[in-house]
Amino acid sequence: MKKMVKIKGKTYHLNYILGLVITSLVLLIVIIGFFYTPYDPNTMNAALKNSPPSLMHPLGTDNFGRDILSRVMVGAGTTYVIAVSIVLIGAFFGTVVGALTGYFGGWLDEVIMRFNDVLTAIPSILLALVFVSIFGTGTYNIIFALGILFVPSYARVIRSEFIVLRERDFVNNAKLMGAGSLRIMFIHILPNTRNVLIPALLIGFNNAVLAEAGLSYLGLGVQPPQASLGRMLSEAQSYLLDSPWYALAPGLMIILTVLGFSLISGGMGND
Amino acid sequence: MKYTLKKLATLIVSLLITSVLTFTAFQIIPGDSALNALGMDATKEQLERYREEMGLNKSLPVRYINWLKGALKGDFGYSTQYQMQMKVSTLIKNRLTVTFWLAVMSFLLIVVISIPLGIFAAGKKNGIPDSFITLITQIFMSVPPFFLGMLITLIFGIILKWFTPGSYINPGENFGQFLRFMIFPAIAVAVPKIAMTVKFLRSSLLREMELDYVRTAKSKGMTKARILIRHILKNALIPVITFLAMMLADILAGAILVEQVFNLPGLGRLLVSSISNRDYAVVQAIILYIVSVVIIINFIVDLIYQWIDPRVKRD
Repeated sequence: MKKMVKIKGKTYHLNYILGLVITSLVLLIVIIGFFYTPYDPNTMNAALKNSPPSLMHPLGTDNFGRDILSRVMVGAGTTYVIAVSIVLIGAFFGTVVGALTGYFGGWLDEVIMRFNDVLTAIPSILLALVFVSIFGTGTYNIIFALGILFVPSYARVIRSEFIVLRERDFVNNAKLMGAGSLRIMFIHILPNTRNVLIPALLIGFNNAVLAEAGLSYLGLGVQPPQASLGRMLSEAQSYLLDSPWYALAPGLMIILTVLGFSLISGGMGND
Repeated sequence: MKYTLKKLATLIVSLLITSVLTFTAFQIIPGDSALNALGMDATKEQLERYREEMGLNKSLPVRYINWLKGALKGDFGYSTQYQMQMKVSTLIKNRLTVTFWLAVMSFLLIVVISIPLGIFAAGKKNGIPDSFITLITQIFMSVPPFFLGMLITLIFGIILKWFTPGSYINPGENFGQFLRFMIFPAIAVAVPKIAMTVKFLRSSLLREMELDYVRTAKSKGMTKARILIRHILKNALIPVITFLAMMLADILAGAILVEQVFNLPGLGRLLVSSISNRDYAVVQAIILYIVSVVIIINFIVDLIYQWIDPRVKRD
């Protein structure tokens, strides 16, 4: 798409702007949800079971009479926190592994990359399920499990950047000036990987949101009564016939979150 | 030939690594598996006998070899999650049909729908239909397959009544009805992947269109449609084949989730219930099975790939 928008002399992809708008809206809802929700998200009210959207409850209530809007706000927050933690763990260790293997190369590089190849052939949700079945369910376990699973993808991205960049003149100059390997890797080379790293972080965030939603949907992630978008969908499943609005709210929230970030990362690149 | 042998060696090594990882991963689980199987009130002698029978008192490598020997014969021991003791292999065999057909139908949907759409989008580059398809693909790529499954149940099952949710029919009972029902979960698995494939095929086609041979064909006076179909498509489809093969892992992952939505008795549901019930023999067997299938299919695709495009062999 060649739809461009001019803002203050700079041109942007229309998609990029659209992505920023959607993401800001979602973020706003999440941030407000940390401090204020219209109702307590976990207070049950037997008189209001499965009531359709109304002025009092704009998104209706669930099977326990809990306000869905409040639960979506808090649930999106949970999903956000989990996804950000997963990406941070994956990106941190992935960067370290990728930088070391890409910069030094050698047999260790060879071994780690073969291991990586096997890991990428496996559906990540399957690996996550293995982790969960070994270490148990719950919020911290899925952060830990998915965080580790995200390491190889970042290691690969960073490694291929380092292989190219380590031959460049500025690296040689730094070496001549007596900079140590660690300094070269993390102060000179790492900042130059940002064009690749930032889209990888955004896409990783989306994958983390979808993975959390999937695991919690299967009942293996966030445990009740805590709300997360996936957890809410799994609870909504049984009431699809009587109260379809219950499933729509968290589902649309996941779509908007993921869509926003993928529009941004698509609009940043040369797509 | 050398290429094939090299690939074959990689295949065997990958399968071995997978089996070692699948086996050892489940050895770090805390707790006594004999105690888990027999319950808290088992006597010391009973526990001892169970360990003896299951070979639990042997060393780790010996147990791995025994497990692998069994696995190669299709024997994974016994499942513990049901009242009646069942062989893991029988359990898996019963559930396999559903997942197999779900994956096959989703794959066919992806191929049949995304290839024409991708060509159409690339042919109308930067036009209104292309922008529209691009936006729609972005949106569909953001939908988790299980939520799509719920939307399909809501729209086609509850509102339009094209199928009755939960009315799954055994393939042995009525195969036609079975396939008819399976269309809906297959759509849920396929749609996000269709979006990805369209996007990928479109950019692959657009890259090809920039190349010199296209200009030559144009200057010879060939029509745009003919160049697209006779020349560009052949080259542009090659990366798409690898892409579709890599997608297979995703299709299986999507199937695990979507089976849950439509209440299908497939491998995914079995896997999830085995995890909840700590039935590790089944979990191990399913993981080994799915990962091996993915690795073997990737191997076959590699071979097909070098047959279609002999240039790959050189690197």
